[in-house]
Parts: sequence; C-alpha cells; structure tokens
Amino acid sequence: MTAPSSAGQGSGDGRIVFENVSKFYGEVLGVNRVDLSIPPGTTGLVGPNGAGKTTIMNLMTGLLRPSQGAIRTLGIPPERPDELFRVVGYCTQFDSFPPGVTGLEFLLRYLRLHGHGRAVAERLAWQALERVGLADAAARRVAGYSKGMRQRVKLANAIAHDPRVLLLDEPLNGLDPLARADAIALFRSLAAEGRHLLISSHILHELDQIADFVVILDGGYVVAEGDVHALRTEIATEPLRILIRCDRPEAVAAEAFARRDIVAAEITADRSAVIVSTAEVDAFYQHLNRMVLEQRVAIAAVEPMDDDVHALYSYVVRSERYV
Amino acid sequence: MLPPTQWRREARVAGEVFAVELRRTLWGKRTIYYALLAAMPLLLFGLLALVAVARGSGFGLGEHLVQFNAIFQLLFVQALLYFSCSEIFVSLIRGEVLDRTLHYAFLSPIRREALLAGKYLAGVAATALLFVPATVVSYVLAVLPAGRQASLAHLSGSGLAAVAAYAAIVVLGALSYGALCLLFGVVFRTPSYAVGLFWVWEYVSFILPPFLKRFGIAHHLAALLPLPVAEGPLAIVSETPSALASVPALLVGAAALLAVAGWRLRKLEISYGAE
Repeated sequence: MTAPSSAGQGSGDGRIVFENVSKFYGEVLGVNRVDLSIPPGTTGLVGPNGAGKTTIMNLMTGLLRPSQGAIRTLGIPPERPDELFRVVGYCTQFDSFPPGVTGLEFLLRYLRLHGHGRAVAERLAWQALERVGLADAAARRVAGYSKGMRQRVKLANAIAHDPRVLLLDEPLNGLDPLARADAIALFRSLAAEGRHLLISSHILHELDQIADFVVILDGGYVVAEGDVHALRTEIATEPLRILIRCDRPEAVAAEAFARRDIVAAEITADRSAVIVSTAEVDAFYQHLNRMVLEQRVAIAAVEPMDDDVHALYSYVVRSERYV
Repeated sequence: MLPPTQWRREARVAGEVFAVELRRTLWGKRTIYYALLAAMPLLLFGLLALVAVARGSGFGLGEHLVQFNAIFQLLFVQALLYFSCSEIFVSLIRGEVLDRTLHYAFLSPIRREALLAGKYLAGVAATALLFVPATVVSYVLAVLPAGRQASLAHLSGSGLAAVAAYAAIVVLGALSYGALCLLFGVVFRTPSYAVGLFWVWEYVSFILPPFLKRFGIAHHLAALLPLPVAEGPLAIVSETPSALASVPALLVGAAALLAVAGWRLRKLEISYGAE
C-alpha cells in the first residue's frame, strides 16, 4: 500500500484528492494550500485542536466551501451531494440530534433520504444499530443517551447506507476505555471490509492502533504524512499525559506510582482526577481496565491531554524524514 | 440538465423531506402556537356570531360579508397568516441551524435545491391544512348571524365561490409569504428583523405610490378578494390589479424568491459556532 502523497498522481478516482485547497474564515486561516492524494485504507488525520482536521473533513463533504482549490472523493466533487453521499458517510463532531427522535427514528429519517423504501431502510437501520451495539436502545429517545451512546448512534448513521468512504471526526472523544476498545474494534472491522476510513484525532496514540497512514496537520498546514507505525516507533520514548476522571483518584495515583512504566502521576487541584504520564500507553490502558474491574474504581472519563501531543508534533516537525 | 431518472429520484427524495417536515410542523413543539393563530378568527367570528344571535347585530348578509372581507384581509391574511408563515417557513432552515441538525440533511444524497423544495412544499401544505379549514369555518360563522335561511341560501349558492376565493388567497398567501420567509431564514441569522420590516411594509403599502404597492404580497392577494377593502382616507388610491395579473405575479415572485433561496442554500456553510 502506498502512503498519502501529493495530488495529481494517477487518476485520483479511487482516492480522496485535495488540490491546492485553502480555506479562510475571513482573515483566519482554516487550512492552507493542502495537496493530498489519500489512497484506500485507514488514514489518520492528526493535529492539535485548531489544526484544521475538521475543516478538511467539512471541506470534503461540502459543509464548508474552499476559498480556493478543488476536492474530489473517488472522483466526485462536494458540489454533487446526490452522488457523493451514496459513497460517503460522515460522523461529525456535532453532538446534536433532531428533537424527540429515538435512535431508530434518527437512522430511518436519513436512510429514507437515500431513496430506500421503508422495509429496506428499517433493515439497514437495525443492521447499523446492531453493529454499534445499540439495538437494545433503539426505541429510546436519543436525548436520553449517554455521550458514548450518542457517539455510537452517530456512527451508526454514518455507516447505515454502507458507504465506501467513512469520515470519522474525533470518534473516540468522550468514550470510556471499554467503549473506546469497542469502537476501535469496529473501525478495524469496517476497514477490513475494504472501506476507505479517514479518522481524525488530536491523539496520535489512538490512531496508531487503527491507521495505516497518518497526515499530520498543524496551524492549517500539512506538516507530515507517512506510515503511522514507523512514526509511532520514533516517538515512543515521548511520554503521553492521560487525564483520568474518577471517584478515587488517590487510588489510581497510588497504583500508577507502583508501576515502572509511569513517569509521573499527579492529582488535579479539584481532586476529581489524576494525570498520569507514560510512554507505554497500551500497557497502562490495560492496567487501568483491570483496576476498574478489580478495585471497582468508577471512571467518568479518560482523556489523553494536549500538552504532550503538542510535544509529539514538535518532534514530528523536527524530524525531517516525515516532512 | 438532469436526466429524467435523476429528476425522478430527486423528486422521490424531496417527497421524503416533505413527509418529515410536514410531520414535524404539524406534530412539533410549536404546532399549538400555529393552531392558536389559525383558530383566532374562529374565536373572533364565533364571538361575533354569539353576540349577534343574543342581541341581534342589526346587519344584513351584505354587511356581514363586508365585515368578514375586511377582517380576513387585514387580520387573517396580513397578520395571522403572515406570522404563521414566518414561523413555519423561517424554521425550515434556520430552525435546523439553531437545533444544529442541518448538517444531517446536507450529508444526505440529495441536492440542496431538492431539499429546499421538499421543505417549502411541506410548509405550504402545513399552512394550508391549518388555515384553509379555519377560513371556511370562519366564513360560515361570519354569515350565520344573517339568519338561518339567508346564510344557508348564501352558502349553497354564491357563498361557495366566495369561500373558494378566500381559500385560494390562503394558499397563494402561503406560497408567497412562505417563499419570502424561507429566503429570510436562509439569508439572515436573525430573520425576525426582515420579517418585521416586511410586515410594516405590507401595512403601510396603502399610502405608498402605485409603483411601490406592486412589491407587496397583500396588494396582489387583494385582487382575489370577492369584495374590495376600503383602505381609508389616507390611502393613495390605485387600481386594484386583476386576478389574471396578480396570480401569475405571485407565482412568479414566489418562484424567483425560491430560486434565490436555493442558490443561497447551495452556498450555505455549516458553522453553528457562529450562529
């Protein structure tokens, strides 16, 4: 498989192609002179908040219009939504839903816009809900869903029409470790079916489990593209800070101190969370899952923190082999 | 130019949008508000009928028809129908922006013009479903005080044509005000200012020169009224346009407003944070 490369190589019909794309919000830069040709497979869009990841996805789908340049997804420009969204599904970051709908109604409403009859739409909706593990909650109103359930119902909406290209904007945000693992397994299975997955995250670590390739954005510019595993190996020595909100941060901190792979652990000033620094994130997450089960620690959220991610980008930018 | 199969597909999907929007408008959280607006003439004419029956109005059928005609034009059409249209049609797009749900429709395989058409027709249907029955019942209530015999004779004769004309005005009003308010909802972040300004324009158009009157919707709707409405001593009198001129003018105007709305919707970006 080839890595993402400059636009203009090949016909581009099987790729997502950005040709000299810029987007300005008035005088504020969204993205600038982006040239990409993304091949089939799983590609990660990585960058700190404000780097331009969501802008890239919104430009691809016509939610935003480029100030200059052209975009084609499998040869289809965003100006042709009637064709584009037969092959593209987009799970956005917008955490909002039509008022009063249940999970099933939410999916049916938009599946019917694909021209499916009621029976086909219902079959597809149930398939998607089962796939994301929400079939049992299908009859419940989305307004009563947890953050993780809302994320999953959005994902179900994005995959229900069986798109060839799937765009996922920060899909792991707000998920607890178990839901995160489920979501990653789902992304892997979607990719294994030959889909074209483009996943954004401000956490590089999240993507190295899923993505074949990575495009790193910073300040609206593409600063690096390449094989994510090689990149991760290079930066493995850089510790990542993880914020864990839970009912007993002291217990988590004590456990963390007892582990050799933890560089530091500090309890936040409001004593509602502990921040752990580790270079071996996978091992720590596995240990955290065990803690949840064995010591019955109630975890409210697990969030890798930005500060160290910025350090990773600095590293990437310094490392000329990825530029 | 779209091929016929594509037209059929777009029409089918627009039909789905129509069904969803119609259900949302008629069974949504603001339906009671629309229903109350539509019911106000019923209350008014119901009360007038009760008072007339109890105390005697002293009016003949002709006076009751003139009274209904004036109230229909000045209150029913220019206020209640207009503000209902402003609520219903502005919310078709702007409401979804405020709810932060418009992106779901934009991420569906439907052209934005077809999306707009489906929403617009749903708005027209919802408005007609609320206001045409209200018009018919109000008319019946308005003529009842003229006496059982006279009102029955009227309603089974020339009254039918009058009711049809008033119903046609409601539908044309929904088409025209709807297109205008839909455009306001697409173009403006706060459409209520434009809605208010146009409402004032409609009410003061009687003192405007004939050339400017043509830019009002109520001016053209008045051409379909079975009876002329007196505009008062301050009015600048102009020739009432004929129905043959006004109906095409209203339809062409609505189509033009929709075309502009479609063009703006095609360029609309989703940036809820800026709303």
